[in-house]
Amino acid sequence: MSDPRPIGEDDLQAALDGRLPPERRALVERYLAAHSEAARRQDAMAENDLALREALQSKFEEPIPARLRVDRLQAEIRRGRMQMLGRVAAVLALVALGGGAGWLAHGGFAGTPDPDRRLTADAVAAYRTFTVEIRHPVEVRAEAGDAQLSTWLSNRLDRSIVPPDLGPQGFRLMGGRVLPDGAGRTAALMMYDDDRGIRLTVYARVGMVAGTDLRFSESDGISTFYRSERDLTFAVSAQMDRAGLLAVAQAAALQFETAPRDAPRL
Amino acid sequence: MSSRIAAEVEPHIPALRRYAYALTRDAAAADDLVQDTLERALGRWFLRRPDGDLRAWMFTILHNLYIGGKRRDRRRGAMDELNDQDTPTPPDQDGALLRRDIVSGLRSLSEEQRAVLLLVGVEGLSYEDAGTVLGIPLGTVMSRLSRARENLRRLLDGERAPALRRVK
Repeated sequence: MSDPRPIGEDDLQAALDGRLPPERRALVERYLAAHSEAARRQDAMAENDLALREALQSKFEEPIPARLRVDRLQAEIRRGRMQMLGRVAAVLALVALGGGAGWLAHGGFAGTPDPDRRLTADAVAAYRTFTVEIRHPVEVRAEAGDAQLSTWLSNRLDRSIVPPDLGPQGFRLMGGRVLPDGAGRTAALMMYDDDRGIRLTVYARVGMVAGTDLRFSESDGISTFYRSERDLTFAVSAQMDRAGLLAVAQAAALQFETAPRDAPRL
Repeated sequence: MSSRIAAEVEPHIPALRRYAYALTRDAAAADDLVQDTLERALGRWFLRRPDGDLRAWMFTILHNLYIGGKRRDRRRGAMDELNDQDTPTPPDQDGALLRRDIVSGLRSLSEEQRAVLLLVGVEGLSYEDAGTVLGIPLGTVMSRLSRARENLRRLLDGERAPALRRVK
């Protein structure tokens, strides 16, 4: 009837955790009664466990932070999934800095599908991320009269990308960089600044948004004008008011409209 | 619907926070870890076994995220690695850590020993569940648990833990 197996460390551990079947427990108790050093160690370990539980109890009893509420986290997860769905359509956006509210009167948001929101969100995110950079605002600097930036962007997007000349609107091309477009392809970001240090970005990627108007969107003080031109969508963004950005966006739009479509082959 | 899930999940949050805090010893990092765990669990809610133990599942996710994070830190060559791993905390001058310092005494244990002691000794997981969380067999749970408790006892007795001797 009695378990013939000798006492093991696992018995001693299970005794501490109260997980020993009764017959083994009796065996352990007899063993500890006969071995005072082992019993002392066993007591010390039990004390340590207790001390550890006591020391951590206050963390256990703390009210949980609001950010850990399940309903809240689930709402965020749902929002994230909706954004993922919105990404399915690849779009190219132009956000323009300029003026001219008249353009917008009929542009409107009526029936604006998710791709538009995705596009403007990506364009604004790129604007926010890179215009604050002091040392590395661009990957490749634009040199006057040098086609290197254009060639590089065109090769990466496999489509002709000529950074618009916004000099007449007071903006100089600083350079550009490539980004993931959220649909597994590559987007281009061109950055400009003016004499006051205001920065403006032109974000471009392959894909379409609906409609042919130059559309407007505003997010936390950042204005964006965007439009699709054939298979390319561009977005002009800047921290300017809508009227101020419009002229720039129109100039960019005109240049995208008349730009050659095919990527130059090297 | 979501409040049903909340009713299932939220009762486990205090224990997850306690475990995360004991692992990281950093309140903000611990809550980040718990938040990541909850997001992962909720995002894969359909993957849990309906008959499975929700608590063990969530501890498993948390533990894996923690280990994954440590691994990333190591690849980055994190400077605090020395403090986090097996370097023991020397006992006080008079030879014994105070009882209230037992949480810092945990630092003298290896990551593996610390995890099993917390899961079994503090969180009250069964040996089987602890093995599931840590991805180790039952025998390994028992031997790690035994070593963890013995090392902690020696440290708090003012004896030198084997790890300390190794360093010398």
